Amino acid sequence: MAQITPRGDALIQVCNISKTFGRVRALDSVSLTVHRNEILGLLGPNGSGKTTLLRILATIVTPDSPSTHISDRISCRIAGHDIFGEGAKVRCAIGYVPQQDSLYTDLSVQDNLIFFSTPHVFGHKQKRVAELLQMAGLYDRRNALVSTLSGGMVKRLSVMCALAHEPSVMILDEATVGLDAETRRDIWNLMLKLKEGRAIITTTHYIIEAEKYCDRVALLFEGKVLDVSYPADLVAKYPPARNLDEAVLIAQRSYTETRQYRP
Amino acid sequence: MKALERAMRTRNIWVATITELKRILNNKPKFITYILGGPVILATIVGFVAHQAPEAIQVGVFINQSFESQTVANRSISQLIHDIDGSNTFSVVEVPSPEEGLRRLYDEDTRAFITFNEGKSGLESVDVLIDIADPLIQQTIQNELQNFLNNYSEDVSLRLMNIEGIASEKAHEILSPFNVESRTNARRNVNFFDSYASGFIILVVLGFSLFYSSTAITSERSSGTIERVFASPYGKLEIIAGKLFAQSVFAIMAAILCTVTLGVVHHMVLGNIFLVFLTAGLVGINGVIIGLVISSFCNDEAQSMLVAIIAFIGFIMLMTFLWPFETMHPVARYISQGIPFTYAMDAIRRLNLLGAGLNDVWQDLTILAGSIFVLAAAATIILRREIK
Repeated sequence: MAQITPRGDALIQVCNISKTFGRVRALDSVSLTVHRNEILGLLGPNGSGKTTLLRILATIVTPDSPSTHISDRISCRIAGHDIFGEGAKVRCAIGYVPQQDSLYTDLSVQDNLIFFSTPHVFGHKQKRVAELLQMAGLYDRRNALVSTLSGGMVKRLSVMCALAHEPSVMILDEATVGLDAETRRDIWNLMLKLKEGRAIITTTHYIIEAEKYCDRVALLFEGKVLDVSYPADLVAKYPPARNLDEAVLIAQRSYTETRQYRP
Repeated sequence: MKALERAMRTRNIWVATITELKRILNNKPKFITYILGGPVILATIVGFVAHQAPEAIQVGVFINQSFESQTVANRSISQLIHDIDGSNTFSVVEVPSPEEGLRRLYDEDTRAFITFNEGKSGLESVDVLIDIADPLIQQTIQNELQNFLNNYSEDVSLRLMNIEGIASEKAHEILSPFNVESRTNARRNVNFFDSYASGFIILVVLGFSLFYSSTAITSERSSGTIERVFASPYGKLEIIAGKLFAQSVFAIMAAILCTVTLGVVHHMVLGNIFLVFLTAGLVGINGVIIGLVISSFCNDEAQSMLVAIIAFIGFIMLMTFLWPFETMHPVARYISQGIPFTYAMDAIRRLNLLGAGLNDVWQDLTILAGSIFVLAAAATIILRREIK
């Protein structure tokens, strides 16, 4: 694994987390750390466990319980709070943008922001909502139903709903999926702005964008973290890869071959 | 600190309620057709379907005279028969002999054959032969004819027999689950329609509230919004309470609309209108919370709708709308007693058919109110803060 240089204090610390759905092992002893002022991109094919990991961090999927003899080696802490026992505190510290837009399409833009900001913000909520509307460029459309917005607007609103309480950790699941190139760039630029003082973990299938915007990337394959490093280091580590896209493919192929010949 | 936490929880419930209300109101087609139109249309239809049923039933009548004709008693019986014939319920065909009366009954020219047995001092007893396979006629005879006889004299006995000659109660016990109570006689203006319509109010309000709320959470699971809500600091109680309060507003609205429609369009006999609304409203809220319990443990909308349908059918069978409590198996009786709607049915019948007041139904209403808290607690516990 490549050498990791911390850029700030660790806000997401995942250590040996596993998750099994019936016979399927979705996550297998996953460990990674995301620091303040950092964007970590989770890369991997469909079914590799990216969404499951983010949902565990968002406390809406429970990881496999640690057995007593190894419990000291299994942990998952968000902004210093343990997801196993401090779920409520974790939920106050995170801003979660799910893969689906997950907004009430039968409500207005403003009502969605009010609803999702309410449990966090006490007092001056209207002021905060107005700020978020300005930031998303949706102030003029604040009374429009979400169902009437374009895909890009919905995505920006989705990010704003997660940002209402200025969380220290942002969890974004495929925030740029289904958007045109310009809107994707807007979303990434927004994330670059948001990362100041925060830790951001995001998944994406646009590897070129991950290479460009993420500080570090983690390669997830069949529930395992194959590698975590800076994009440039990963390209260098998997010759003859010329870019991150090729490095990801080589890393996956290499893992499959190793597993195939394992006794 | 605790006071602040409590204040935040209360505010969260308030915002969740307002949000849910806005969502329902913004969905105009569903709101108009389902919440406003549905109860009114159903209540209107049922009145036309059930209103005509007991009217003008052809009955053969024979006066069994043991004494000289044209006695005072005989004239009085003739007047009674005239009154019966003049009612909307029966159309009387006087027959010259019992044989003729039986022939008409067998040929289905008439649906009952009534024999007035005259004694020394007047009418002593009335024998009614009916077709046991016709539960409507038994109910009507017991309710309506008994009414006429009570007006005539307290001493006259009414015997129902089927056309095979078995005592009606016995035959009825064997062949039919219906065991009709005659308590509608308590209010003279109550007719056949009213006895069903009272129960129908409960049925409509329960149906609309249960089916509407049973997909409240599962639809959010499908759309993905619940994922974001679960990842936010909204507590489970706040999620359930927000939906309960908002949907209860519309359940109460459905209760009022259904009752008013039956009263205005079909002139249904209603008791204390405030208590009728209260009972129907509590049924609506119970329906909402049962729907939320179902929605809390189901994974998708199809599953929750299926469970809601099964629950609704179970409630219809057990809440004494179709079959009275007395005909149930002992196990079914225990289950029936555990269903809040059994008490609602009892309360609304007492209110509308007996003209009862709060003193008579407060226990039923307390049980209905109490069950809301129990079910809300159950829904909160059952709700899984997890995405599969």
